[in-house]
Amino acid sequence: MDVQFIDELAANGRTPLHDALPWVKIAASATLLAASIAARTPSAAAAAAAAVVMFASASRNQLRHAVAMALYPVFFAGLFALSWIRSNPLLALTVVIRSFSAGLVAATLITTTPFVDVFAAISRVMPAIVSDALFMAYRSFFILVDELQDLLRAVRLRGGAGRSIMEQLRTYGQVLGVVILHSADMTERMYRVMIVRGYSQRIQSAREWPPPRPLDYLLIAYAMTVLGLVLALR
Amino acid sequence: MSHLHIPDGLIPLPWILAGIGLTVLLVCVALRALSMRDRARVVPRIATLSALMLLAMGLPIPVLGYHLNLTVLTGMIAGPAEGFIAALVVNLILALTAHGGITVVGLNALIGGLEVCLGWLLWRSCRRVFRRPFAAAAIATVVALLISTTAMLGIVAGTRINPDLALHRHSHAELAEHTEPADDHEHAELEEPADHEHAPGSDVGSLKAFAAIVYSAGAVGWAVEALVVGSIAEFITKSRPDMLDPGSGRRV
Repeated sequence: MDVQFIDELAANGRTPLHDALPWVKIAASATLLAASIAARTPSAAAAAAAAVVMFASASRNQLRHAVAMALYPVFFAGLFALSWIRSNPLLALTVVIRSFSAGLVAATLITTTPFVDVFAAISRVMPAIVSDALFMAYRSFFILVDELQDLLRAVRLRGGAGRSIMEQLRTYGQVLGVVILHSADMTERMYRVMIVRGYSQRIQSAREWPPPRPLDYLLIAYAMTVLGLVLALR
Repeated sequence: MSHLHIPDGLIPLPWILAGIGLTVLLVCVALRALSMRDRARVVPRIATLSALMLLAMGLPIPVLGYHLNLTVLTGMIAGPAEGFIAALVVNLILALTAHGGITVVGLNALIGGLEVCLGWLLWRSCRRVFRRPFAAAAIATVVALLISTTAMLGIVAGTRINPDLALHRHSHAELAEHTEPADDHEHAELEEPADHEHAPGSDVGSLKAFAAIVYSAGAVGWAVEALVVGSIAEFITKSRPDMLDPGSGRRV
């Protein structure tokens, strides 16, 4: 999982899906997710998957990245399905297809919508501590990832993490230990900054979205139609 | 892997809602436990620990297809209240990046939260028994991950997502009504797992096969996680022993 790369795709992409309003994409994604999960037969699941691929293809050349991300839940679903493959291959197949569709919906949403916009929507239904931690965790990740990369580079320049897997894992443990110590100092700095800025129980989001355009209505209509068709196939 | 992310499309709706409900309840308990603390201190700590968990997942581990989680270490450092919220934050971000399902965020957070709580509890116990922090942390990690994996298997068993049950019900019904039951399975609609009648024999057989896969693949992951967490605990104990002090009064 490369959060940096995902952020890059979401922030700098120029596709029709990037132009759509975040809340519209979230609503359309939720509807397509419901359609993916509601499919009960392999054919219905395949139809939902095809509809999701159509939706995702609006992100043009980013589609392959979203598909690659969607293969991760397929691996886990495959693991669950493995024990059923002989007793009920159809259900195993349905489960795997459903997980692909659901994964592709999430991957498409997050590669075409900046995290901040998605978090802004999530934070409306979350307690302040959770939503604030979500925002700050995302920000902290990018600070810490740079530090980790520097440390790993230093380890490589000094001859690598070790020959055996045991040595390598111990080295990784020590590298992470250094990052954790630095993160404790970073936490203290963040605390002081929050006090100075007058943090009062919640980080306020000042995000305002323009009114929906035809593309936004089209996305919602498409997602609703797919859900309706999948429900009809049940 | 040491930790299974339950994907979307696998768990029936009542279990999804139960997972979300229980997670909301536990978040309320955690928030109540944290209500007396300075929020400006709590939020950055949860955020940093969440970021560290995400960071560890991206570390290139030399065992195929495996990534670290650091949920147990989070419990050791932050305690159950902050740790549980950190686990929820990580699962929310993971769900959005297709690492674990969106609808099963509640269940995945419960499993992650269980690892956090067990990590906190076992670290406190093991630290009294073992002199070396490496051993205490490694044992706490293996036991916590073993229990959380078993809990995940419990969820799978509880949701009765075993298709054998559906097959048996269909075949009995078809045998009673038709004379050519053999190929009708393919035309039968696949019912939601939760709707299936219970057939204990086949259920146990299929779950055993699944458990064998999960435990055998998981054991390698637990060993990797234990080695890394043990190394981190040893390193931190030498440099900043207060961070992992099991007797610290601030943890809830």
